[in-house]
Order: sequence, then structure tokens, then C-alpha cells
Amino acid sequence: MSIYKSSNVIIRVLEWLLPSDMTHLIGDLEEELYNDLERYSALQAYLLFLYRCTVSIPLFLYQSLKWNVVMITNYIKVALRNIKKYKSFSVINVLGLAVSISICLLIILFIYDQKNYDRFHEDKDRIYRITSEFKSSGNFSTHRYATSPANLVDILREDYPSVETATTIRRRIGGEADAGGKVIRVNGLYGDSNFLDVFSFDLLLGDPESALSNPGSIILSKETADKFFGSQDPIGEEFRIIGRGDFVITGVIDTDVRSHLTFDVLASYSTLLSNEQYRSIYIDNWRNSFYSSYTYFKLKKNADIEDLAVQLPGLIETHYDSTPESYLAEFIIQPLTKINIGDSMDNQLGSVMPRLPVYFLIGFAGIIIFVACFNYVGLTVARGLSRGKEVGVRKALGANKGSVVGQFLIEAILIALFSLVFASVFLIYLLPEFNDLQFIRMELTRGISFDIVKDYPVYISFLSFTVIVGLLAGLFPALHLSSIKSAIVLKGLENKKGISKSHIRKGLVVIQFVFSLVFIITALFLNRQFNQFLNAEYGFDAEHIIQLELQDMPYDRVKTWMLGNPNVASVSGTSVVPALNSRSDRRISSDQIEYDAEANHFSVDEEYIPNMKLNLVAGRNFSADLATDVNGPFILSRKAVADLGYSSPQDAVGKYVAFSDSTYPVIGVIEDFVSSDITVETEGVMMQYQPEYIETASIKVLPGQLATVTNYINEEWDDLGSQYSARYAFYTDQLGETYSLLLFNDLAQVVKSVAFFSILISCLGLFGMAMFNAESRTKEIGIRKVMGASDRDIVFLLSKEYLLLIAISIAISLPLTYLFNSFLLQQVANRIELSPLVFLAGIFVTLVLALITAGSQSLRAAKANSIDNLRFE
Amino acid sequence: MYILSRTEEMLLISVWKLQDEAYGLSIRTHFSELVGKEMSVGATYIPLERLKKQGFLESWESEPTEKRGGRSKRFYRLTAEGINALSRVKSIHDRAWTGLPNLIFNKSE
Repeated sequence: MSIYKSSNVIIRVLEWLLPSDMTHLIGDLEEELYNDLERYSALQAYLLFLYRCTVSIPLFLYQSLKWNVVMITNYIKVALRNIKKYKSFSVINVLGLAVSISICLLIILFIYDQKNYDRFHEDKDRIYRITSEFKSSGNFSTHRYATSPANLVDILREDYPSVETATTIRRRIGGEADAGGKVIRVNGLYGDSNFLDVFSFDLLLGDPESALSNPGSIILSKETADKFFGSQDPIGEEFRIIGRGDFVITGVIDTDVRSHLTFDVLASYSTLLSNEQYRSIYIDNWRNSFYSSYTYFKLKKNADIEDLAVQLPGLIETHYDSTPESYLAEFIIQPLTKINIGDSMDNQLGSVMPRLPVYFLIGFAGIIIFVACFNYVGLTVARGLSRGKEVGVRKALGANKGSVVGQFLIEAILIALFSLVFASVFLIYLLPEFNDLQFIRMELTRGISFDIVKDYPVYISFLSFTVIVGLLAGLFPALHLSSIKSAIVLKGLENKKGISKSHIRKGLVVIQFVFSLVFIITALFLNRQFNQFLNAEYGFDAEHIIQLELQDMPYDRVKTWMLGNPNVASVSGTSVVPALNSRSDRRISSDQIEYDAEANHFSVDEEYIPNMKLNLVAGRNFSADLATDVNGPFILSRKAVADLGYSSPQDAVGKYVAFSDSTYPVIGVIEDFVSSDITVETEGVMMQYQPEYIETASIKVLPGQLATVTNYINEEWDDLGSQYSARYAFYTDQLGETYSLLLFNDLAQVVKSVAFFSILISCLGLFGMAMFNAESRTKEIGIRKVMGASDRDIVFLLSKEYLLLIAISIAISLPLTYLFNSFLLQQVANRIELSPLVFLAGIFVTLVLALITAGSQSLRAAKANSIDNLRFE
Repeated sequence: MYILSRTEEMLLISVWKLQDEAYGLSIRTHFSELVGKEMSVGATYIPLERLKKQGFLESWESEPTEKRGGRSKRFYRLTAEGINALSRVKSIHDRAWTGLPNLIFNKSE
């Protein structure tokens, strides 16, 4: 009876197409089909039915569409007339909506762009990555890593028949590369010979079968190949990565695609495997091998990923005996297309945008669009008096409620579409600003490209979004104005208040200004907080310090060399430079506490504490003369001492602290300092005298001599015999550009823009409202002036209503702002006080702006010639 | 005075003929038989609704029947005005045809 079924489909379509009062026609068609089925074969009956439908449908459609088109054309005509007639209102609405729509378009573009990552792979729906979840026993926190054990890939390939092919990627190959007579820094990955089977990157030159097979093979990105070799054919050329070895170029690959995998070079994984020592420590050892390896696999067609997922837990049991400390809890399968925008994970590979900032941006855009829609609602409802007459006449002439609603919705959509035109222009200016935000640059390295503007789905989403905004803005006015009783309006407008809904309009203005105030004050606080970070006490002296990376040079050599310059005051060394967001936390323990404490570990020399002006509060510094100090005793910070459960620094000195598999005496205690991040609470610090682990020389320079010393480094570094070029930075510059600070600055910038746009749009709305109010009270103003009221009286009379609204907004927003900011600032250390002055400043700015916008219209009304006013109408 | 079109005339005749059984499908079947070719649903329905609007017909919906997928029938009936119009057309026809030579005779020759 499949024929009958397909006739059902046609009937469904007809039901959907035809107005409800025409369903009896479908009944007729169905009855006839039924009759025919008795008379003819099923096929014949069905063909007859089909024939009947095809000859009938055009007429139906014509009939039902014709009147709709006539009505819609009429709606559009009337809407355009209204837009033209009330020019100032239209301009205000269009501007407000345009600004907010452009922000939303930006966010849509951003999300669309991000969602487009890794869509170019042929079998993208069958490709997955295995990620790992760890649980640590102490505080039961879980850590999700994008990585997985290195040898998992072999197990997938061999033991799981539903896996078509699997590949492993290992990160961290890079540094200065020497090839084609040039030295340029490159970043890259290791990939195994299945890389090109799983992913659909386009290999421009070279053999896809063998390019990544042999040890010492390397594929360059098109861009990198061009940098080193220009138009020459690079295949077979030598490519040396300093410190990593010599490679032979076996391919050139197109990386100009949107993928979370970003690399300049792709070296063969077999290069790593051929190094026996490396292999046994970092690859074959299941405990060590999961920090840098990524496992991707392609499922067979028709295989079910769930079947695979249930088998993975067994793997963990065979390869790990779960210890109480920290253990691998679970393998989580992640679809390739869900990596970006995706869960935030540790050891993320390449550019991945986490969800949270995206949600934030959507939230902010949503607020702005609401503020703009409120403008539209307020201004349209305010004009309800004059529009009311129109509605009255329409209704008296036979329009039903639905058609009046349609009329107003069409008008709103038209306004929104006009706004879209302007919004697109704004967007061109907004886009570069947005791409300049740090988190975009850091997480994505690319930002939104203009390329995707070529994609037609973007335009469809822009258009449909705009129509939705139009509907959203127009819905309330449409429902409200269409419910006007024609008799009341046409009789003589006694129900004025009800029609112009003044309390709703006032409510909208209040909400708008509450939003604006919250964001303005928050922006001010964030700005202050940022400055607070920049000027905060770090607990050490960063002035006149150059941080020079040792790279392949021994510390002693660099120290003697630097001290040879008369402008260098002193030189010290450390494994980790403090406060630059590099964390080096280790577990330590004492007999005073039950669970382990954490502290950031620094390997330093004896000069480090005096050189950085760290304060020793108890005990002594390391001494170069005592052989026992090397690799042995600890100097702890005050916080670490407290975490270990000692009552005072003096108490801790001489005690033994457990670390790794041994215990070490505490010989000194220093004052706390910012060890990894200025935006987080003070962390404990532990220092050991370990000159051989030093990676950076902190060079203290005489005041005013920074430039001469950097010249000295630039000129003489090469003579030291390093393979690398010199890498150094001024410490004060580095401190101002840490990742956490830049992110915080982004937050401040985004909130600032939200504040700016929301106050701009709110003031536009207030302007319109004031203008409307002044216009509708023209006669009253005229009479008042004739009776002797001064301009000032009139301005006051007209403005006081708005002042009251702003006052209410302030009253509502103060507690909100306080709570919001306390919450926000609770997340960071080195907090500023929520000073009342800042609240006052925000209120002042808002008040001034509101007074200027509302007052200007009131003043214009007051200045007008009262004779003209009274002649009005 | 409004003169019915030929389609409208045929439709009114069909409705009159079918009396209590005059609904969409039966009208169209009868109408098709009258003119001698299959008329589409649209070609029937639209003039029917027009006639209704002009007051020559009135309609009501029946209870839904199972045979029609649970949909109701729309029955039509001539109003007094409709009957007038139809009889007027008939009298025009009768007047016009009286005293003419026999067409059928000529044709069969």
C-alpha cells in the first residue's frame, strides 16, 4: 500500500498549503481516490489522483496567494508611508537597531567561523579524538586532557575492528630552522604515516603514501616552504631544526584551511620512534606518555561509536593500576567537529575556542539587542495615539485583528531590514576591532577572516536573524495596538493613557538605564582593577632587569660573560621566571598536615634572592661555599610555611619537608611574592639551589643602561657559540603582557563596548521619547508660556519625568552593580575596593548624558514660539 | 442586471439537480458530465465560492466521514436569489431559442 502512503504525503502538503476553511476540498480529493481504488487498479487510481492534484493546485495557490500578496503589498506601502511620515522616529529606531544588529552579526559571524573548523575533512563525521580525564585524590578535582597515551593508537588499530584507520600526533617540534640559507622560527607537530588517511589536508607536493613513513622526513606548510625556498622546489632539500636534528623535506601541504590543527612543519612520527631512549621513556611508558600525544581515529562506515566507547574503560584497567594519588579515570571520545567550539581542556592542541567566552559574548549581544528592541517598543507604543486612529479606521472598515497585527509586524520587519543595511556597514568597522582582542588572537591565531563572508549561509542567517529581531521588536506593539477598540478611538480618544501605555514605556526606559548603569560602572571597576594589577606589589623588584634565556648555553658562561659588562650590576639565575603565568607546582608535605600542600618550585642560584630583592624573614640564603646546599635544602615562602602547618617562619627553619621521595631541611623563609599569576591568590613557593636547572638569567642593570646592555647582548651573543639567536626581554614589559592580564584586559574592553553601546542606544530612545512628549504637549506648553511660564519652568516641567525615571534606574542598578562586581572581582586576587566614588562617577556620566538628550528636546520645545504652538492643528 | 456566465449557470444547474446531495465532489462530477470534459477542482471550487459570495448559493459543512480521511463535506444549496437567477437565465434561453431552425437537423445532414 505504498502508493496510498505517498498520496498521504501529497495530502499533508495540501493541508499545509491550503487555508483551514478549504480542507473539505482535500476531503473531496481523498474520497475520489477512494472511489477510484474500488474501480481501477491502485496504480491507475493513484495516477488519476496525482493528475487531479496537479491540475488543481495551481488554481488553489493562485487564489490563496493572490490575496496575500495584495495584502502584504498594501502593508508594505502603508509601512513605508509611516516610516517616511515619522522620520525622526524611524531614524532613531533604525540607528539603534543597526548598532545592535551589527554586534549580533559579528557574534554570528564569529560562531559561524568557529563552527566551520575541521569541516573540510572528507569523513569528518566518522573522525574522533580520544581525550583523557584524570582524577586527583586529594581534592577530588578532575582534569580533562586533550591528550591520550601514545600507544593507544596501536591498540585502536589492532584490537578494534570497527576502527578504519587511526593516527597519532605528538606536539612540540619547533624552534629555529635552518634551510635554504635562511634561519626562521617554526612550530610544528609530529604525525605518523596515517595522518593523511585520517585528515583531508591537501598534499601539494610529495607522495602521500610515503611522505611521513621514514624517520627524518618532514612536510612543510605551503607558507613555510615559500618562506624558505621561494619558488624553488623544496622536495628532497635538507631542513635542519636547531636542537632537533636534520630532516629531509618529503612534501608540501596546504594549511590554508580552517582546522584546529595548526603547524608550520609536520615531522614523521617514526623519527621519534627511532630514538630508543626517547621511545622507552616517553612513548612506551603508559604513565609518561599521555601529556603530549593525541589520538585520532576514523570509524568504519556503519559502525557504531557507542560500541567502541563501552570497550575503552577496559583498556585503562589493563594498563594502569589506579593508585590513590592521581589516576586516569576515563577515556572520552570527542567528535572531530565538536573540538572547536568545544570543552576546555588542558594540553589543548592548536587553536580551540572554549565555550565560556562564546556564551559571554552571546549574552552581551543579547542584552544589547534587547535594549534596542525596547526602543522600538517604547517609541511605537508612544505613537499609539496617532496610529490608534489608523487602527480604528482599519477595523471599522472590516480589518480583523490578525491583519492589523500583520501590518505592524511588517512595519517592524521593514525597519529591521533597513537597519541591516546600516549594520553591515558598521560591521566592516567592528570586525578588525574584534579580531584585535587578545583572546581571539591567542586562541585562534587567525581571527574571523573576511573569506567566510563569501558563504551564502551567512547571509541567510543574517537575514533570518534580522527578521526575528523585527518580529521580537514588533510583537508587543502589534498586539497592543491591534487590540484597540475602534469605537473608543474614533469617538474621541478618551482612553489616551491606555493607548500610549505610559507605564510600560517608562518601565522600558528604566530597564534600559539599569543595564547601561550596570555596565558603565562595571567597566569603570574593571579598568581600575586592570590598573591595580599593573601597579600591584609583586613582592620583588622588576626594575632594570633583563631576562635572558640560556637556551643551549651553560649558566656559568653566560654569567661571567654578562658580568664582564660594567653596566651590569648583578646576575642571577632561575628555572622559572615568576609572575609570567608559568606554573611549576609540586606536592610537598610535612608531619603537621594530613594532605599534601602545593608550592611552585624554583631552581635558583645563591644570587637570586638578593638580586630580585626578595625579603628573607628567617634563616639564611643558599651559599655557594656549602656543597650540601646543592640539590638539597629548601627556602620556602611564608605562604608555603603556613600551608605546611608551621606556626611561624622561625618555627619552620630546621624542620624537614617531604618532597618527591625524600625529605629536605628548610634553611630559610622568604616573604611571599607573586610566583605565577598576579590575578590569583598568593601561592606557596619552594626554592632549591640547583644551578644546573637554571634556564633564564635575570640580569640586573645599572639605572638608565638597559639599551647599552641589550646592545652588548645583541653584538656578542653569537661569539658565545650558541646555535640559537639571543632571546631576552625587559622584565617590566613581560609583566605587563602576561596572558592572564591580556585576557582580563579583553574582558574590560568587551564590557566597555557593551556599556558604550547600551548607553548610546538608551539615550537614543530617551531622545525619541522626549521629542514625542514635547510634541504631544505643544499646546500645553504654548498656553503655559502665554500665561507667563519661563523657559526654565518649561524645561524643568518636561525633564523632571525623565529625571525621576533615571533616579529609579539608579536605585535599582546600585545593588545589582554591587553584587555583580563583588562576584566578578571575587574571582581575582589583588582586588580593588568597590569605592563609592566609582559608583558616583558612573551615575554622573549617565545623568549628564540623559539630561543632555532629554533636556535638549525640552529646551527646543520651551524655546518655540508660543503663537505657533497654539495655532498648531 | 447580472447575467450568469455559462460556467456559473452549469454549476447552479448541477446544484439544483443534485439537491440534498450537492457537495464538492458530486457537483464536480455532475458538472464534468454536463460539459463533457473533466473539470479540475479549482475550476469548480472557485466559481462556486464566487456564487456563494454573490448570494446565489449558500453552504454548510457536514459531519466528518471516515471515507474522506476524517474531513467534512461542504454542501451547497441554491438561495431564493439563486433560483431567481437560474430561472431568469432559463427564460432568456427559451426566448432566444424559440422560432429558430432546427440545428440538429442541419448538422445530421
